[in-house]
Amino acid sequence: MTKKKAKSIFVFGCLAPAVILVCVFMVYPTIEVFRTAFFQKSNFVAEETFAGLFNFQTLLKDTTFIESIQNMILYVVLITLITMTLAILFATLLTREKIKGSNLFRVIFYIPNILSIVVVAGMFSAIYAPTNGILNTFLSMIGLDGLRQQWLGNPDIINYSIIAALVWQAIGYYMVMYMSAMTSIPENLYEAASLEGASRVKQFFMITLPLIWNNIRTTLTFFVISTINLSFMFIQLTTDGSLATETPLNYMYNTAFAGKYGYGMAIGAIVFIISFLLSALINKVTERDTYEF
Amino acid sequence: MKKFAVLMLTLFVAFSLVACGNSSEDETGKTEGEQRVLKVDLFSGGNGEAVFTALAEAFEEAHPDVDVQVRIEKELPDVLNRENATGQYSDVVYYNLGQPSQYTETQLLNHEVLDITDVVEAIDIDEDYANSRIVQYYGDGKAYLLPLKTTPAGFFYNTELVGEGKEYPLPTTWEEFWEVGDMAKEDGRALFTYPTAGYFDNTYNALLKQAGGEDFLFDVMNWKEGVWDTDEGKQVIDIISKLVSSDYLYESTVAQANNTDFIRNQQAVIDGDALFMPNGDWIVSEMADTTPEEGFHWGLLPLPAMDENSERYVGSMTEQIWIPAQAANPDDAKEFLKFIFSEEGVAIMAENGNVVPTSDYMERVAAMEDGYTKEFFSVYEDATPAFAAVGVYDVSALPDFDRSAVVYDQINDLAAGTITADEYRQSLADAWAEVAAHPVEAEAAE
Repeated sequence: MTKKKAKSIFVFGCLAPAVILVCVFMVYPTIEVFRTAFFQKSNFVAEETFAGLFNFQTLLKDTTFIESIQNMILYVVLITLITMTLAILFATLLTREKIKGSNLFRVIFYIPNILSIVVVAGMFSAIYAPTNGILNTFLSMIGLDGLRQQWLGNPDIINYSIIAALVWQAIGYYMVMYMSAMTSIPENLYEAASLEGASRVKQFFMITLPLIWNNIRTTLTFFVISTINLSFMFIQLTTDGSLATETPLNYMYNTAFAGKYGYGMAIGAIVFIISFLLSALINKVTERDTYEF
Repeated sequence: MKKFAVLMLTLFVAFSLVACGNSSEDETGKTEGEQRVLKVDLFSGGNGEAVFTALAEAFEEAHPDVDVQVRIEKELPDVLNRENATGQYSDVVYYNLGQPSQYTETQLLNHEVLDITDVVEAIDIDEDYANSRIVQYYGDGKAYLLPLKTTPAGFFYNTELVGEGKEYPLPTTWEEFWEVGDMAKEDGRALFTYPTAGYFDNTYNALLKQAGGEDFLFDVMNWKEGVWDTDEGKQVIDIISKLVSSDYLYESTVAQANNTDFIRNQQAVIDGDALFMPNGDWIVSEMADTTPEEGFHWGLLPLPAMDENSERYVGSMTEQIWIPAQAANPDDAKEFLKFIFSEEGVAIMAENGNVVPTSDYMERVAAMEDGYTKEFFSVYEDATPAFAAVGVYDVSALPDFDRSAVVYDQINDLAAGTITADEYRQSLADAWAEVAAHPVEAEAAE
């Protein structure tokens, strides 16, 4: 056996377990999802009848599904915008400004991220509770009774209440990611800029932002994926889709495991395609020359 | 070489997966030593586990050659679906109709439920129940589900607050009911709340029967087109929308009408913030920790009558037990079902506060010790029970239709003011028309 051959066997042997696991638990199930989407099937044991595009045609006129996609887009756009802005702002403050106890803040901001979404849902159930919830009680305490709300009962604001919880949950994670990118920017760039008379704001837009751009692009994909996933779990634990808060994955779950497996898989297939396209689109439009230091 | 290695690795993984699958198969064996195994799988709900272990022990004593293996699961459909996928089936399943997972309905539609007509004929079951669509699910005269217990499910309230000589009089007609609501409103209390919108199921049954009798209830449950355009249908929607109007509904209801916070709506009745709510007898144990001993006692109100001279109705809830068609041990399973209706079985159920719908269940309840069960069942003295099962339709042709979303979840929208009563009624009418156009094919129902 030549050395080259031995090496390739070794490489192959090292990769094989991971590749097989990915194939068995990711690739095969995904193919199954797409295949089942073309069948009428009540659960995964039941007989299946080929239905062609029937499930997809039904989806196009299914108002609940359309509403869930609208919600998904609203969540992805707002959560990404708000979380990203705040995370970059906090990351800049904690790395560039000399704030007392910045390490403590870093820990505090990160805590929500280590909490399970079940705990987050429980916390916000206590925060948003209408009569004795933390938020409404606080508003009364500072004399703003007029602002008391049925946070999870008023259809006009319920989606924003959910978004606020998910933003709170996500900020710490992205802040830490941006901070790590920011700390690697050489200090001399900022020194040179300040000698030239650039203000801190200008430094942020001319130095910090361009140099962490690649990092921001990567997190955008994370935002799409995690918002779609986490909003499902959060909704499942709180409103379960009532009052027009349905999200696609929650709808998929409630359909697929309620005797309509094939239809649920069609929802899954569409969500897969949409999130894939969305990530690709974001990746494309945010493309620009990388600045190096 | 590469190809060979891929092949070997694939074979290895495939083999190990198959091996994993096989190892659990031993458990499905029909006999264990000399005993026959009877796998009884139960949904862990509000009834507690004690009653089922007691039943299993007593059954084993009466049938020494049977080993009853009771398993109680909170996520029963998930567990059973997983097992069914590998060809394993329970012998007895206790899982109700009308659950979000629709597990029982799906098994029925796939003809995975055993015909137990011989069991129903052999036991002393109340005729109304035996002939209901709950038991004869497809309406073909054959029995598939056995109601293992029954309980009245009307409006629950605090007898220390509402009743003769108390702060509020006990209403007997809807008119009086709204009057109590107006009185309560002046005191800063609400007339009504509901835990989640799904709790309207029994209220609906009673209301429909009240408005148009058993035939109307049957028509609505079996998707007859046009039922919501009738005067009876409109009357039912009017009452529902009045119940959840801002005049009478506890303000925080909708915000808390979800799986996490529904308990706060139930607490509102205990705290006196709301007077009535639809619920079931499990409420007593469910809320025991936060119910004060003084100044509170649960009461059960049948639905108020349409007027002074008309009959009163109360929803009657049953829980169902059934045998999978592919059960390994159907004979002992049938015996187990019969055992629940035997003297001994009924007694064990009664010890744990459960009433089996035998033909003489009212006399049995009367002979029970004083307590909530007896008090709750006393509503049947002046109210007729209303119960029904949702009729079959071709689910696969209407995958985007979800009955509970259309009928119940929209009550939240109605309460929140995003839809009007008329829009709600219209959406029900549209849904019924669509379902009526998709009946189950005749041969499939046989």
